[in-house]
Amino acid sequence: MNIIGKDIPRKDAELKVTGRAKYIDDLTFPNMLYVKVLRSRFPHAMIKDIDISRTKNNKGIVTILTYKDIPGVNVVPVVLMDQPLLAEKEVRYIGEPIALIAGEDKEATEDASHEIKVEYEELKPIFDPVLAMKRNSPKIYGKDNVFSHHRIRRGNIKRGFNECDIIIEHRYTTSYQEHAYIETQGMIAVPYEETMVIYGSMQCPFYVQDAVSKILGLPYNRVEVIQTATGGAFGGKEDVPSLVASQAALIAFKTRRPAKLIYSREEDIESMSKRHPAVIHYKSGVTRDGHLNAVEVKYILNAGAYSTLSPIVLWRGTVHAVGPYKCPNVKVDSYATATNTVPCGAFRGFGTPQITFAVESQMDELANKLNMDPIEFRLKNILRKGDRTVTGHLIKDSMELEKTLKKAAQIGWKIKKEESKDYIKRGIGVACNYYGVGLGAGGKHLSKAGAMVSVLGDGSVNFAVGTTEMGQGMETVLSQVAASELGIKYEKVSIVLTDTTRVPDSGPTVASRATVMSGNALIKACKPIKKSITDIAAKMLGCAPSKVKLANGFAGFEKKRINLDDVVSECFKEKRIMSAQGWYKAPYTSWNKATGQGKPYFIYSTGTNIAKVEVNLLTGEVLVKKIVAVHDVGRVINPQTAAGQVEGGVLQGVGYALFEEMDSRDGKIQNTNFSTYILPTSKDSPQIVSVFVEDPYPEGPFGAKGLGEQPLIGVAPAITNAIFNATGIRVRDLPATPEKIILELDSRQGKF
Amino acid sequence: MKVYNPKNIKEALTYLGGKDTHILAGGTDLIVRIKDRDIYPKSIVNIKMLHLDYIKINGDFIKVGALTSVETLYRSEIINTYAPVLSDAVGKMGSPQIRNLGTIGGNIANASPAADTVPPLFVLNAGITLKSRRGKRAVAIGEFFTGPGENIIERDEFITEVVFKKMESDEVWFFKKLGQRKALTIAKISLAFGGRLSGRKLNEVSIALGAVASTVIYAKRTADFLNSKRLTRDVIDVVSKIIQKEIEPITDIRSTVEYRRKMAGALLKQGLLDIMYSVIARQS
Repeated sequence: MNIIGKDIPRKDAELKVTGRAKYIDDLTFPNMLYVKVLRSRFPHAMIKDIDISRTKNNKGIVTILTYKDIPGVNVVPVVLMDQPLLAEKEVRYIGEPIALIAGEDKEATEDASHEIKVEYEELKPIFDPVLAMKRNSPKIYGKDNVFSHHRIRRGNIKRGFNECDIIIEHRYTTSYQEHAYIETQGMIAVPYEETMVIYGSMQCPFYVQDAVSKILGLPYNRVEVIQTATGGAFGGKEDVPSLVASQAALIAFKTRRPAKLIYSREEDIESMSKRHPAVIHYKSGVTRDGHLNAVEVKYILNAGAYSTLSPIVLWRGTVHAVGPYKCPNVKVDSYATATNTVPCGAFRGFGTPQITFAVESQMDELANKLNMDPIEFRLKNILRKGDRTVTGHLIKDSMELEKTLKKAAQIGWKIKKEESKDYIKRGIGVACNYYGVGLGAGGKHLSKAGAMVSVLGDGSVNFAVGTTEMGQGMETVLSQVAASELGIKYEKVSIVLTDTTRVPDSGPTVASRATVMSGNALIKACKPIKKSITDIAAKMLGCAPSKVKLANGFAGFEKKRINLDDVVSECFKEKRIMSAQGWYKAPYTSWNKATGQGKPYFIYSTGTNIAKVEVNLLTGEVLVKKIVAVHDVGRVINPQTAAGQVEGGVLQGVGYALFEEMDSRDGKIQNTNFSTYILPTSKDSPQIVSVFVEDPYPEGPFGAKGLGEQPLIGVAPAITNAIFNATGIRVRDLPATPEKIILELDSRQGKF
Repeated sequence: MKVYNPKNIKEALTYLGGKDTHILAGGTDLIVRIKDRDIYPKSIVNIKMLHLDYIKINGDFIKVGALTSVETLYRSEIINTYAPVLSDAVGKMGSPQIRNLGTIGGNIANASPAADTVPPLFVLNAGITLKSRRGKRAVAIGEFFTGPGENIIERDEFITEVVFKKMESDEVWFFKKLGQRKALTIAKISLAFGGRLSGRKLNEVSIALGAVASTVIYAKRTADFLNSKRLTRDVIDVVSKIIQKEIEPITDIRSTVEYRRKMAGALLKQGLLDIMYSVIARQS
């Protein structure tokens, strides 16, 4: 029995369900200190003085550190190196770290953080990402507050619009989105002889290693980073755990004692990364026969006070700015601008949910203006094998958007006649999207992965990969890959602890890349071991190695079967290679910064969402009844885990569409916990129909592409398109709250 | 901080009277406020062991102990039968975890303008029983609140019981709550309605609204307008305008003044339309 494509139980399920999995806050070390971060209360100010004289002698307080105590470089390394670990002379957002307090217990550090007096001189802040680019705005980065600018130039935009029969132009805005991982940020730093050992919740241990090593001035091999069970991440534990770890590490380094730092929910929401709010000007035109002929976009992201990952988030958003459609004439300009607000960063979809909301709203409006069915209109314009994307990338492999669109339409593109009250209106809406798998040309130097596999004497297997499990199911999927490749039973395969001294640096666990990258590296690592097993099995079975079949714990030849444990035991006696490494480099990608042309990603996942909604015309409330989500992610390794990803992504998309609104007033986030930041609950969940169309991607492990981010991206526009089809109201500002819908209804004639 | 765990009401009363003394019932509000450093209690009187967890029928009246949890109310056959407007409201409160801890007495004493049990208790014209070393007194719920988080409870007394009359079978009622989502949500606005219906004519109308003023309020003029009116589409349209003039909502993190004002009308309209439709359906 092949275990690829089967609903194999998750490796971590029992541990997590029974509560035995160890999260960072479950760990303690002897003589451990508690750390609290002192943060800025102003969005933009000079620090005149920090008075710790009164507090440092408080009972239970061990030390209070500022930037002056940093032995290495005061920088959080991401892309542009503009963010300090601890503010020096100037603070640029509310929540910016200024000092670290370490104490014998939590209460002492908490009390001290309320007592330390910081004297500020307030500076003029800037909050609006568009105004930030104006000449007379306060400058917090460079001459124009622009961290990053990308562009696409294709065809002739002027001629393109001249050829169009219908042109529409609108402005779209989207809100912050908070990751809302169940486990807040947390780290423990433990000094051990010459090494600083870091334990914590994270996606990218090698990013943490880099950051801690820069702050402490230690070589990489003196910083050991161990990932503990990670309770959700969604991009929110990509770069920012570097800050948390460095804060704990600085205290541990100075005191030579273990230091624990667990963020409260309030401080996590106030100071950690989120999805960027966006402002999008979108102009698109079609010819009368329904072909998209010209698209002009200006895409602005509110990056916050420091650049962090914004340049790359913006780049991905730029690449996807026209959606999965053909278009001969394109002009895109995108900007990530600096404001005195919390730095934004990676979040599932990475700059594409914002732009996809605009793309798919425009596509529906064009279809409406053409008097054409939205599905028929999309079918005229979608990318198929042999087409070129708007960046000029010729699609050769695995592009099954058409199948997802047709399948979704077959399941969900109809409204049944049902009895309903006259103030309830029903509608359906569709949205397509695609997503470049992996880092692509935006992170080329990181585009590799390693794996190490050891088959042990009793036939059990350990494998080590540099990508991480954060709840998405990587451990399970890669165990299936290793088990299938070696023919060893799934139950006998285990992943080793994610520890930088035991796993190869494989770049970050982001961009839906773990299955493809680590999966391929793992298959390569299995090759020499598989050869050992096959050779010995062939001897034992009395046949040629090419005739041996390995599967599910047995080696077989014709009708003969022998237990693989015996074969492995024989391999050990024969001193065969039973431990090996694999290395996988991503296929070629390219990008011309001036024209935005090239092959930005090596492969794309695609999908279609159809939403069915009910809108209450009296209250403006929207109830999402059903989401049909059809995705093309190549071969599915574990359908149940994949469906889980889709269900979670859909619900996060429903939140993005309708509920999740972060109220930031003068740079201060007002909803810093889950009683005011509104996530959908199980009662708000629609019926979710998740379907996969499987077209194996030849380069992927067993034909797999990436899935993680894909399920969220198209949900919001499918819902807002459904709201339009139900009521005629076009929401161009996410989330679509009842307040906004009622305002629109009020401004119309013939209201209910 | 001192914590007292009295075994009976008499003992509990001896601990009350101090300035920074707080009463612990379910703790769903109190503990959060302590953690937020919003209050610094010197002493806490835990009243969980006082046997004030009961729902009783007493002739035409229902008596509910102050320590009765929201979940108990929700599951109570007595409440479901004789105070369905309250039953409906508690079903829309918090989550199972919060409903298991939160109590009716706490929900009242906390005096939130958005408290979910309060508008139905207004419509039921409930009486609140308070005890102190000085004796006991009963206060009508309509007179109980003086502002957001403020009420008429003296420092030396606490709520022991809530009493209201059974609803009768010819009474019509509804409870509407708009939150930011379907569960675990604080009301942007809530509306409880009670009245009697003969044919399509309304009488003895009582309407209470939450989260549209500094306390839960009666919409008296609106109720008066509806009394002895026949339910028609026109009457409903008119009355849904009247109610908007009877409230003083604000803009906060959950909603806006404009939306709340409009929704007072919309919720009343939706409830009355549903009553009218069901009457028409019954008659035809």
